[in-house]
Amino acid sequence: MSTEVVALAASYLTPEGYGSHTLGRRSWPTGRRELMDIAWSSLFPVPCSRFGRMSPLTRLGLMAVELLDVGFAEMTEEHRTRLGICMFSPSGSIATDIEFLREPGPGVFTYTLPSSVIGEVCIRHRLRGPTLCLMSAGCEGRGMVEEAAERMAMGEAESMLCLLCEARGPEAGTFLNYALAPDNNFCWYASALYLARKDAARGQGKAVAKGVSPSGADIHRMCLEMCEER
Amino acid sequence: MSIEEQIEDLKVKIIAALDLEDVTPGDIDPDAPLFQEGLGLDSIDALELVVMLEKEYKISVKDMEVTKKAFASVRALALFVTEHQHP
Amino acid sequence: MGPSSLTETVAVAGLGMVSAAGDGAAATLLALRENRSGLHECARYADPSYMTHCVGAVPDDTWNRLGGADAGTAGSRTYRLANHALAEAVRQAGPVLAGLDARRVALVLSTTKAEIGALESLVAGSPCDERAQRHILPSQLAADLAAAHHAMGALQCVSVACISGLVAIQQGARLVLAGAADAALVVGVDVLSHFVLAGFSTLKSLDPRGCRPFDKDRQGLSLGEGAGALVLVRSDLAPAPLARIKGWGVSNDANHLTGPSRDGSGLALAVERALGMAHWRPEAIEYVNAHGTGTVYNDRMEALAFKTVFGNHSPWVGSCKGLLGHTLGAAGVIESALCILAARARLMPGTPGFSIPDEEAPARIAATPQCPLPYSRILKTNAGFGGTNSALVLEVPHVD
Repeated sequence: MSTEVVALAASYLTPEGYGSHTLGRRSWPTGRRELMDIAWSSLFPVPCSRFGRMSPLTRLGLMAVELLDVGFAEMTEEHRTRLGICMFSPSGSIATDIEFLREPGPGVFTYTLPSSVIGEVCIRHRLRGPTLCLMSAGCEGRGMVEEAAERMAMGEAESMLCLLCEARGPEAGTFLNYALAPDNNFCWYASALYLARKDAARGQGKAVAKGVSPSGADIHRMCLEMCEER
Repeated sequence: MSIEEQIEDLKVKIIAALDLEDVTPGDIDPDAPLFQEGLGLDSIDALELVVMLEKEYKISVKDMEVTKKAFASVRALALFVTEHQHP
Repeated sequence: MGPSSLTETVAVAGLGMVSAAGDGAAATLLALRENRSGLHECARYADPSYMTHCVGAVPDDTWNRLGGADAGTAGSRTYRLANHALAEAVRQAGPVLAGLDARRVALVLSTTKAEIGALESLVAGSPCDERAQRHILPSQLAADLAAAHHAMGALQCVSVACISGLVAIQQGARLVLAGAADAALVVGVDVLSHFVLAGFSTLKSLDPRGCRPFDKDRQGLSLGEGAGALVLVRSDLAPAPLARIKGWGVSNDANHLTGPSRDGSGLALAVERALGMAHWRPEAIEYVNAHGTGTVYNDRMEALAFKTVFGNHSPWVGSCKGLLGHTLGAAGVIESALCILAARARLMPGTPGFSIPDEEAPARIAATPQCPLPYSRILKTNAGFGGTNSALVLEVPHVD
């Protein structure tokens, strides 16, 4: 079961820059950046009180969703209850797992699950729809857009946030066998898309091809294109 | 260490333990509630403070019920630490 | 617009499990009949920094047959357990799977920490088995399991905290319904580790006496380990299925990262979504196998959610955490498999660890096993960190 979908918003963050369909593509002011050096207040006016206590992956996911700027606050409760999230992450919470093994503590432990990203996004924007988090190796042959489209086709969700997040940190590579990992260019990146059914989008948005690979490369390319077109 | 000194010492340790960005010791009212309204801390922060007490003061908290009173404010926590530090 | 109903259902053609309840379906059924507790003090995890080492460990004789329980020397323990449960399920579904093209057989893995023991070794600077190291990444564990069981179709690894198992079953069902696969092997696995014992100890959420779901004196959960497996197939391929997947729901509390919502509205939403998809009214449900971890807040939250959905007509509600412990990412698969197994034996499981009901507990707790008690319409729920909730609705045909 599937349905035609359109992307209403896109965003991305990498060590080289960030952008969205409204901001366009931007470079970090001081050249390449480390994820944990990026302060929330450098990008967003509305404060995020717990940001400093979040894991790298969670920070990244929350920033990518904030960059989408889709106006969650103006949505009705019904809309937010039927807004689903579909997240992919190749290495999940590995950086935080290592941190916890070095120094165990309750705050760190709560971020040793990749789905903590979804949890924080839902809390901040009061989203209550169906959520999915997959740790993909990039060779599954079934994409994030298909997962999202199917939930909309089956009536489980009215719209979907798709989030690709990776923050494996500098150490993970020495501990893990990354033979299957698709993307060795950056050790952190995120891309986000906000999708709706074409028939509900009133002519807005950019058509999305089905079967987008979950490796991230295609999703990321699409986000870059949408940011470029601004 | 006097209670006032203990309070100042605790403020620094709380900020460090909870990674409270943009909060200085001067911002914390020793008599304000730590949770909900005051600093806006939650149940995970309470557990972080338990870890901090174990690490910094060698005080082991077995029952979270105890923390309801001990974590009422920084002053309450200072009294709790003074009471339990040298058994 | 509400969720559309499933026009077709997905059939369960095989199941398998290994856990604190024992090795395989027959051993698990025996443990259910005896209302046994699977929780014991386990010397491997006796560390004074943990709140307790009372856990739901896979029995030693089972571990010994599977290559050992020690994370440092036993290689990939998650692979061994998952492979073992899958083999049992695939054996049962053999005649159905036999005629299928391997490229049309998918595999969906659910786990929260995969082979975390290997990461423990590496971070500590200890030697680590190469295969175990590979399996730190769930995607590589899934790939090896798929290769071993000739599943050459779609491959997915679900990681949504403690609802992972139920979401994996849904993903398997989706793949079949969408025509992306003829069959889906769904396997959930998590093992006990110093990582999780240290973690739940810092959260002060373990009960030193072993968990007591819905009991008035409950103090926390007990950790467990194990693997569960289900073989899902297109309904026309299995004319006499073990069970049918009728509907599912997922929701988020949008409330707190580790604490469940106080009013149970998130879980109620997930249950309503699942019932809506099944096109069943709440009173159709005969047995609820709850998340029932034994923490003060989870059990209260669930009781409120069931009250919201069922009103004053509560079905039987029970929890198997006192037998299995909380098996985290495996819980949804093991517990669903266990429900199917029990219903087919006309056995309604009890709730080991429970003795005196909490005043807020569900009205009809399935305290002790009831047999013979025919029932077929089951609701399975789980909830987890990140405010996630999930519900699965199953129908088990009466066996003559």
